[in-house]
Amino acid sequence: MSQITTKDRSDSPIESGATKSRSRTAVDRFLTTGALVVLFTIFSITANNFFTLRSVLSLILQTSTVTLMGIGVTFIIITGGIDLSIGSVIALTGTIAVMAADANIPIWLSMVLGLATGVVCGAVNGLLVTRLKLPPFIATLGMMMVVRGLVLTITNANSRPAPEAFGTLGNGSVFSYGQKFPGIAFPVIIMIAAAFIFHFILRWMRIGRYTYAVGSNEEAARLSGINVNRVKIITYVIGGFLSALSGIILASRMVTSQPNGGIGYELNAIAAAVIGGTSLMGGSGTVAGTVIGSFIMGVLTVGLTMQGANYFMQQIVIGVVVIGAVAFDQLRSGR
Amino acid sequence: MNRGRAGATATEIILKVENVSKSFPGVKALDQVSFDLRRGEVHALVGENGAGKSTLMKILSGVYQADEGVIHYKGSPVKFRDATHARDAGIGIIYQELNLIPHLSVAANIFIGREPLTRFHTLDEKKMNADAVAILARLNLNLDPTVILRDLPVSKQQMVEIAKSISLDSEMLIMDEPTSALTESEIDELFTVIHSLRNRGVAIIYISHRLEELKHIVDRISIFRDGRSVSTDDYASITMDEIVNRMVGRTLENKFPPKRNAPTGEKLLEVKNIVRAGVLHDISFDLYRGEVLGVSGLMGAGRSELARAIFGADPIDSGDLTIEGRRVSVKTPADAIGAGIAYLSENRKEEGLAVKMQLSENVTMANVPEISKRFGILSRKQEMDAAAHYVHDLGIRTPTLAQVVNNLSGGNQQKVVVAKWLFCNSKVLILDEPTRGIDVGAKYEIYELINALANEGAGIIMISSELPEILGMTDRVLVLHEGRLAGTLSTGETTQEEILNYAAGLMNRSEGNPSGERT
Amino acid sequence: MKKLLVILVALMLVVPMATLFASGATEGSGATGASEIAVIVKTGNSGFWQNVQTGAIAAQKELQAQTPKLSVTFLGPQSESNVNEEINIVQSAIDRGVKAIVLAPSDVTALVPVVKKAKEAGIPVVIIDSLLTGDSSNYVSFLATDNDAAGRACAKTMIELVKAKTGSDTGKIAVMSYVAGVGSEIGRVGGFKDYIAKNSKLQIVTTQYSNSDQVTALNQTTNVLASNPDLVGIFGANEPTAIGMGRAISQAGIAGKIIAVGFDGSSVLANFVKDGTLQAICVQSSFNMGYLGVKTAYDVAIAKKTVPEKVDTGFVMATKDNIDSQKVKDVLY
Repeated sequence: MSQITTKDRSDSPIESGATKSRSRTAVDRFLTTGALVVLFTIFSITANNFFTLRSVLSLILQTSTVTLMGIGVTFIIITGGIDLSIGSVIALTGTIAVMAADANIPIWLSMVLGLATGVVCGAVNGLLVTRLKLPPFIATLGMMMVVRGLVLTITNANSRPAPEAFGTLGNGSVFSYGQKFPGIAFPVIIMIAAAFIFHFILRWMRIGRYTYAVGSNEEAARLSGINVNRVKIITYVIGGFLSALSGIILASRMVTSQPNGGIGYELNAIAAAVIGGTSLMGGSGTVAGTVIGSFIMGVLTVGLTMQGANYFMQQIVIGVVVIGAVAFDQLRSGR
Repeated sequence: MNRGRAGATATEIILKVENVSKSFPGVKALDQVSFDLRRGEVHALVGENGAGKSTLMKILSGVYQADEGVIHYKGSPVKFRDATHARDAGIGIIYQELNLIPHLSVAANIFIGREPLTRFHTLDEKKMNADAVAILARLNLNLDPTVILRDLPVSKQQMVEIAKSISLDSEMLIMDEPTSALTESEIDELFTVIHSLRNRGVAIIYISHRLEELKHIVDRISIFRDGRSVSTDDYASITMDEIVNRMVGRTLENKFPPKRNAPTGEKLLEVKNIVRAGVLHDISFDLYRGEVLGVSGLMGAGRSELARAIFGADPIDSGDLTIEGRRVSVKTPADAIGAGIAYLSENRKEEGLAVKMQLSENVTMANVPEISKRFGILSRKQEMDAAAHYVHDLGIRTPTLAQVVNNLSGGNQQKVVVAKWLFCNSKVLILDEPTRGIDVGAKYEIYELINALANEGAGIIMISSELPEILGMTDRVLVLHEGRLAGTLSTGETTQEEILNYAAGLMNRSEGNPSGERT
Repeated sequence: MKKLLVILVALMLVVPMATLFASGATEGSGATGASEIAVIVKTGNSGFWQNVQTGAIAAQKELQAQTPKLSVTFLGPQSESNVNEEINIVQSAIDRGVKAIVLAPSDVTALVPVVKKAKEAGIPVVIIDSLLTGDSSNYVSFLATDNDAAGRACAKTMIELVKAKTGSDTGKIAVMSYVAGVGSEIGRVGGFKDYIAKNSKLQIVTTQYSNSDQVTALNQTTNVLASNPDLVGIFGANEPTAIGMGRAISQAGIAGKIIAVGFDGSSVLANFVKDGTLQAICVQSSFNMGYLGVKTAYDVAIAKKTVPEKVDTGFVMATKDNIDSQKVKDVLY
């Protein structure tokens, strides 16, 4: 029953609000970037050989795949979903590509097959969420198990070596000058390219706008004529594609298929997105934030290892950072 | 049903409200209201939306505190600090939305927060269930106390709510629209319980929009209008016409902008035989260019459902839409938008806006392709131009076009939604409670906007619970009753009383005359 | 659309069941019950366990000379963690009255009751690979790699190789382990560290845990090598860890410059030994587990002999020199 007492109280302070929201995202970005710089500086001082060109390039290489997965899951989380099948998809797509290459299919085509497999996995996730209306947590949890079972079945759980040429994508680099400069690794180039492309898609393309709209208010988006199901499926397909890209890069780095690999990677990807400011409630998140988030994770892991920190302590530190980053965000936005 | 009862002689006054006033910023919700309630009576409280009934109930149950005036309860003045205070004093309230936990048993719901414990401080389920049976028996209810609440029909759940109040030894019970979710036979059951409570000496305030059901249970009736108490009478001594007259009273002047041009007579939208099983029954009407067509009806009559059906937001079983002479197939909101139909939902924040997104992004949300014509790439410039255009045209007050919508006032938010639909070149705008939650000044601007849109040739369907708004703004009114079109009235020739009669099901098109008696 | 969905969902439910049924049927084929020895392992889907099968089949062929009707069946759940499925497989072996069971329990306690049932049904059980808790009289013999001994052997090899290369047993080494605190890891890595400490001046600078993930092992090894350029040796304590470690060594371009010892015998690791990335791998004799497991079961159930309570199935230290010998080929997978 509506009544005259429901007076809108947000009436008066609109003028003072100014560009609060935009400046706040800028502040957020500044803070997370700042945290990254601080961590990097600390490790440069305390960890042996951390601040060398070779180590930094190696750090970027090691972080590139988490970044790719993180970007994919960022799209999904913005719509209010989640993807727990990333690790399994990584194992399956890498394995498919290696098996194809092993069967004398051209390397590029093998990799395309791997990517296609990832797209199919993503589409299945999307269909489970939209058509069967399963909660994303359950749909992708189920897919995590199904896909893992699939890859174990087709490989008998055996790691298999790939043809040497398969390793080029993961281990090759450009601008390499022998020992002086190890070059920029292909996976790093792929990561940078993907970051720009998906930033552009999320920020400047129709589908990106729809992604935010669906996550912000699904019903409003639907009533605005947006095909909500299609948008969700596309985000899961993007997630599947980027997981597959990671899976192929990792298989290529190892020059091996790894049916048991990738377990738990989804949690790193989700953590990277969340540290980078993506809200698990949906509606907010950026590619740039996720890139920074995954580098915060990467610097911590590599730095602590190189510092010679006890492995068990590393776990504690990383956990504290994840909790701290999100708690900080909550406290600030909760004002 | 039988109005005779044992305790009819009880006349002790349990509650006396004297000159109570309550203001909210900009609005005087209650103005010197007086009212009294006797033990063992069912006292109806009626009035239009915004008459002040709910505010008074919230004061009586401790949710709000009165600004001035005195409330005497059981002979002494009281001021309830909060809901618990009122409850402990013996005042129970049963809201439209039940305050129960669906996953718990009946007994657990009745005793929630004060579960009996054994001496080992574990739950004493045995005692709880036995006590629950005893309380239910007092209401002549034979319910298994261990049944999980959500497995019961709504009417039984309501009984559990009542039982919960009884178990608190409530001497006074407030029921706010208790029948709105019930079927005919369930209503009969509820009335039986109300009778037995009354016979037990419980005082009951009964709030309802369904005037026709009052005759079954009510002893006295108080009528509220515009925050004042207009009258209190024995129900037997007042006629339905008098009730409706007093509810409506004299309308305030200058609440609405002057009338605009008359509709052109060119048919814009034809709705034919819309059916949605159990919700909408064979509804047909026309909308003309430049017309504002009101839709009136009680809660649950199917007003929003009709809008959602036309807009493709809910699936329909059958029905045809014709726009400007062309048959259109509308299965999804996207179809409707493509055909030039827009729907401003009554729940602005839940269904109309992405409140965390920017103003400009909300304006373009329903027509993103318009600003991303090349390869799906958004043009920031086109987006800003569009937003700037509507901010200027509609007079949206915002510091920047990038303002997050959540930080705008209700009226400005509503204008953003209007802008969103104008940006789709909508010809038919369905406005569902367009002025809900908006203060008086902003309301006037929305009315002006509606008139301007109609003058420019749009067709407007305006759903409203506020009859003055319907009368002040529309050319014709569709009145719905229980999912059926009860009547189509010409606004200039009708009155609030007539609309209410149609809405209450006391009249309909085929009969055309008031029928106070229903069988 | 709705109908299609219903069919799809129904298929989703039916297909996995059919697969289970089919796999059970094929793997269990030839089970006569009359003179059957059932070999039940943690999973049928891995090279390690298939080597166990190879050993079991070799034993079967040998023993068929004495008992022509002898059949050996090889069964296992789809994945290692599927304990319930393994219990069911054991139960069904009991139900069809096999002569003996060779079991690799995938859980130290969960399979105790069903093993006890087998004993009560008069079916002797030989445990291979992993320990089973409870009353040890429930089974007749326990055959496994002595992880402690294997770890010590790796340490011994490490010390010898470092000495051979640098002329002394000093310097820094790193341990790349897999999952902290699981039974085999405590024995294997514990034995390694203990032997190093007692028999050399080598200093262990770090222990990393890869959680048996190749890429994690690759990254960890890369980082350890970067921050410790003077490392003389490194030990990768299980298959995925050793693979990641080998990959990191080869990418860092220091193959042969550092003494690297791995564990387990997959073809990828064997190739690392052949190309000099790893100097040695310690290969558990999974072949022996199958071979000796079936033989022990046969001795108890059919030949009615007494058998030892505990048998070390042994391991083989494979280096570039012996990698092509038959002895090593038998244990690689």
